[in-house]
Amino acid sequence: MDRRDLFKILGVGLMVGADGLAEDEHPASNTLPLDLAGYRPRFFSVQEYEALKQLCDLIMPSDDASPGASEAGVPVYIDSLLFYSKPDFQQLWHAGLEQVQAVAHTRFDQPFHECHTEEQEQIVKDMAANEEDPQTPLQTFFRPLKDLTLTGYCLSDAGMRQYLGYRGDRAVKDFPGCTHPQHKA
Amino acid sequence: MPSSICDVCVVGSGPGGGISAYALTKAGLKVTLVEAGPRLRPGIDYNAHGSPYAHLEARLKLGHIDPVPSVFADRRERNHFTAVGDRPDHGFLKVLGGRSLCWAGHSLRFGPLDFRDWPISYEEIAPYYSRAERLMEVYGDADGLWNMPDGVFQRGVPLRCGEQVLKLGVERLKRKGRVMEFVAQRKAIPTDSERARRTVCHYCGHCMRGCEVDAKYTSVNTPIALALRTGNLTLLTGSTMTRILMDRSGDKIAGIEYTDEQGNSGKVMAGALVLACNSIETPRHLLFNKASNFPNGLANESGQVGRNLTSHFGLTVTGFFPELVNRDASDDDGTDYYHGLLTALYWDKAHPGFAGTYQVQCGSGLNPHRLGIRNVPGYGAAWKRRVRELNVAHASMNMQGSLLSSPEKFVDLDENRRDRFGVPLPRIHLRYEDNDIAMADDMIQTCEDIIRISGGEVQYSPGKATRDNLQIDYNHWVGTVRMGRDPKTSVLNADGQSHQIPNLFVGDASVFTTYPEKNPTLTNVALSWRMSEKLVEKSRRGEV
Repeated sequence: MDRRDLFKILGVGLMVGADGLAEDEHPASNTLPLDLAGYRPRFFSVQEYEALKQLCDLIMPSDDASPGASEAGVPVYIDSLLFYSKPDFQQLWHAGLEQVQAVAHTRFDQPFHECHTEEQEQIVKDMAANEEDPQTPLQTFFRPLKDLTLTGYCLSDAGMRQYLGYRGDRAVKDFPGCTHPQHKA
Repeated sequence: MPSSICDVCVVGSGPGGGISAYALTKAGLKVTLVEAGPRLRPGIDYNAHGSPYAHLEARLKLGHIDPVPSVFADRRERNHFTAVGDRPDHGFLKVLGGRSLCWAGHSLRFGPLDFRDWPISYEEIAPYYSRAERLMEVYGDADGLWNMPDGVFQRGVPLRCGEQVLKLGVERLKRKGRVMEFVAQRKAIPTDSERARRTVCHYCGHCMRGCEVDAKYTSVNTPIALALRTGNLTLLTGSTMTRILMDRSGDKIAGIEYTDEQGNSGKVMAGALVLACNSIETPRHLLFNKASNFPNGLANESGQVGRNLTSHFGLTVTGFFPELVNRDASDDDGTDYYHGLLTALYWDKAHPGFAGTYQVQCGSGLNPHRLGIRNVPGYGAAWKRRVRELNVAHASMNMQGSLLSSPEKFVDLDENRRDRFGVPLPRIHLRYEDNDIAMADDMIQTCEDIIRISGGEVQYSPGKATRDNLQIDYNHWVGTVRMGRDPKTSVLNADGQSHQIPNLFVGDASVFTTYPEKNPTLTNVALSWRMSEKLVEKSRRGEV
């Protein structure tokens, strides 16, 4: 597709702002670049935030195809969301992380983020033990933690592109649909 | 109080009001279009393009949780009605263009069967369907189905893998004697650069969030734009109708009173009034505006205003197809989630266990904003792989059945709750009945059968329908100001004109006499266009 076709697709109204547009990008408005590397937590304490990062990575670890949750920016997403959230939602997360820290102290005598990986894995395993029907405050925190980790990961650039392989936001001229003969007969 | 005079005042600028303003101004009438909301600019006031994380901070600051902008989620009315019974809801968007800014574009003609109990036939409305499809720029395939007739289409948009696999399953079920069809969707989105008058679709899938390049049909980008070009349209945005005014005889409408955003009131005096406020708000205003000659509310001698409320309802079943696990789903947004449609169920022969028909919208889009499958137990590396596999290889079936119309479903006024203009809020009464449950159970069974015979596993199913798990389609309400031949059982005649008040017309989907399984907007536009032309003819003959 050449530039002129793209402008035809995107419409005259957007031509003005679309100067310098790469061939397959959409123009966006009202966006702020998020500084993932330089982010400082606004809702969690530094210690809580460190624990959150490690919890997110245990749930959504890195593998050959895509990075883990914290490298993708999920803790930034969660901390930002909570910073702007209503008090009851904030309270749920504060209480949840407090539970994690309390359990780490009781069992391993140090905060979660200073535990060994095997110790952290034991705690997360306990958290996830009754996912459908949580029995303890620690277990109750697992579902919200996991849900927001998954949501945040899939909305991150790395999650979208590398994990899901998503490029659906490209401007395409024709929609090919299914091209596999085996799905058609 | 400022007062203006026009030939026709149209209240509401959604699919019905927009087309009415166009048809009336094109015929040379002076029209004032009154809309409670503001005008939004596509690409500027709404634009979901770009990385979600780049939207995050700005959106959180405004109080939105979803980092991807959506006109509907961000601006829908809340707390504007009282819910009674089985969790009714109402999707109401106060902006110029109304819900036409964020609809999926699904444009399916009702067929001859669907008009059986209406005062007009399919043949009478067919020419308006053709005109509507041309103006709205509907894409689709010619499928040759007798009760969902083909229309004037731009080039169709093909099925994705998941939808294609479901279609194969339907073919297998048909060979076993089941009567149904699986076709590609028809939507009001231009696809053909040679024919398109709006921007051609570029398949980003933001249709329901608001099309930022204005490809998808809205009242604003087509009929209101054309109406403004005639020079006959006065547009009052940010103006809420507060009263309907009667003339000195008390038999006819003289105009309306409105209040603008600054709190200033004004009047629009008009030869005729077209209400196109939606199926909840139009009966609300008719019931509230009691007058000496109309003690039960305007046009309500029959007591039918607010009655015959119906919508679509259903449940969702999701399938997982192992053969699709390794497919490349990178460009699969298309024209939003649903590209497939299961239809032609119970047209030829009614189901013995329930009255009515349903269709199933089928989708397998892979958009990170809308994961098809989320609730996968576990965590860690294996879970991460599994969530990806399930999403790439899923297809979802969203059932859409016609809710049985009954005395248990209606709209009236909540005299205890009023808006800031003193108008009582509407109450929506919904109670699912045995017929609704029986239909939903059949929908669930049919969807599970299709998934299994397609080689898939049922990944999620409600199993059995109950009053507690049924979902109402809060965007599809119709029927509350229905058309009919008999003034005792209907509010409007076949032309959308009140049986009682000759200069009162209705242009929204509340006029539907009965409701098939198909989406309402195309029929709303076609009917409102026809109503508006009848209004012009009648006004020339002095009959309004």
